[in-house]
Amino acid sequence: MPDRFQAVLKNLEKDFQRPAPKLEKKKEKKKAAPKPEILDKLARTLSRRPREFDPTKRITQNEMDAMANTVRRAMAKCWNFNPGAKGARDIVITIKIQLSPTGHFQGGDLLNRSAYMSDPFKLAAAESAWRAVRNPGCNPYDLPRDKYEIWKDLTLTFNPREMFGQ
Amino acid sequence: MSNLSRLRKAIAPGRALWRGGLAVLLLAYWLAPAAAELRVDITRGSVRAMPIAVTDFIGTGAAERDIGRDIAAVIKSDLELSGLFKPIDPKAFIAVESSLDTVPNFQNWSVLNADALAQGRVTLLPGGRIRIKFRLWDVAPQKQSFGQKFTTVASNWRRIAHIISDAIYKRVTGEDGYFDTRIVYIAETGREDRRIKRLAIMDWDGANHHFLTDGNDLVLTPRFSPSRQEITYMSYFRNVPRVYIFNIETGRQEMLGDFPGMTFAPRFSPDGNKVIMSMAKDGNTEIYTMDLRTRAVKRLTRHSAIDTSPYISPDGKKVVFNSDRSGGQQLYVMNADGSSVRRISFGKGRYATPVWSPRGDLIAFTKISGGKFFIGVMAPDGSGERLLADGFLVESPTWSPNGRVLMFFRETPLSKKGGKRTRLYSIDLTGQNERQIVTPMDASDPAWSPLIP
Repeated sequence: MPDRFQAVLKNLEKDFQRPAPKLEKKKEKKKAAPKPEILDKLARTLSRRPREFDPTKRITQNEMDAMANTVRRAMAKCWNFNPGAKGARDIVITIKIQLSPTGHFQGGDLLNRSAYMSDPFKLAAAESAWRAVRNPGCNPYDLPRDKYEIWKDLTLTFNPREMFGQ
Repeated sequence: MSNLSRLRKAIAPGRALWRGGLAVLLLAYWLAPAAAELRVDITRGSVRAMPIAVTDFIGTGAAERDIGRDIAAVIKSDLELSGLFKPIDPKAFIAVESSLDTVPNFQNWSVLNADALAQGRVTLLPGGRIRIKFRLWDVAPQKQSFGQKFTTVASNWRRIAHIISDAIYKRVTGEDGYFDTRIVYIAETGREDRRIKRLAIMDWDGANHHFLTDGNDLVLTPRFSPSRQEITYMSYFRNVPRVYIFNIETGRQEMLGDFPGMTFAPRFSPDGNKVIMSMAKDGNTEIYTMDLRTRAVKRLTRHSAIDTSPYISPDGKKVVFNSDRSGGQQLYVMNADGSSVRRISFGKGRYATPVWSPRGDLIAFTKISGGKFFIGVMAPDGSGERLLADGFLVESPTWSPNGRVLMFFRETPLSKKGGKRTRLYSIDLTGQNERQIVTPMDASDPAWSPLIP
């Protein structure tokens, strides 16, 4: 759910009229869902598995989500994106990066590179994502070191839909 | 979606599958193999001005360095005013390269968090000419983004600075810039009951200001030609409003056509070959076009209501206008031949002065609602209305040639006793970065030129 203060497209009318409680409702709903308990239970089950399961090589969905959220939060800060450009809403940029065991950007590839070269806006958007992944403000990536096998290769798909309230 | 997230959806609590006792089976899959790689969808970023270092352009003599400093100042001002760039204070610079022909010491720029570095060199040539070389560097990957070279008369340095700003803007945002442009507007002086209104022109940043008319005749609603150094506007001839064309280079002024009624609200077509305008006769206002080559006149609307403020879409296929045919003043779109009229504005209040964005995706307008004025935008089908600026009186939006920024004027009462102040403002279409455009006096009715050819 996009935060109001982060909405990038200003609308004076909406600011005057938008009712705030809606946001609250959704949050409450989320809280009420029993999902986390069940996931916790599963996580506990996992931790009780016999030793033949190397914990560094097995991972719960909870942990996976937590890592994805960490990266998502970091990129929301480090990805400097210009939402006023024509076609900005529909841009999709996929970057595959490699991280060092200390969580630092080591290298990567812009997938489908040729699609960006002919269009100056797409090229600029791809470069903005490229700057984001190597932004010193987001390096090292704050990921659990013992799960390095999981995040040493990261595939990031950038699409600014949330900035447009979608 | 990864297998894991699919799986997670499948076992989400409350689902039939879960209740069906498949949990045990699914648990085996839950313990995902380590080969799963982390995929992350990034759905939002930050809107921040990009830090850029613009160094004074270097030169061998004092004269060259003076021009170099002035060029860098204009570039920094352009980029900063756009709201998309944040020029770094030169006081923070660690060391500035003394040559344009060596690779910069990127370490000195990355510690300042500069994303880009702009450098140049000025060389005086015989005959009052100068050569300007310029390079933009991408700091993180340590590579040149592009370089440019210009040779021109020395007095042209300001335009070259704007052209370089446009090139930086384009390289970084992917969109054309709007810095090498001009604004015409109505410069207002004198008491309210004896207001003198003169047509004035200036660079987009307020430099090179001068007047085009002497103030003897009232002038209103100037609009730039998209293809020639011409302006169309409304003035009075024998106390009757008439549409005129004015050539900026020759100063020649010409009344457009000999119409039986008042003509007003003129705009050029996107190819510059036609003017679309309103004509009022016998209490009814309709929309007409005039071909500037053949002088053929065509009537587009036929309705007892007032149809006015027409604007042709950039592809030339549609016309947006306002009409009170449904009661209040609302926006309508029709085909360029006048067929298929349909209403696009349905919000509360009245809508006026629609202006189609040069990139075609939005229509800007003035809205009057609840005793307040707003500048807003909506899609050409009427969806996605957003109000960007407001005030006691805000009016007359005009688009930058790249369709990214709107300029308008805002009138503010000075006191309860009377008096007002009227100034030009620009705002990004995202609703951010509102700025006042500096004018030497009261200013209204701005019109933004295309990029200067």
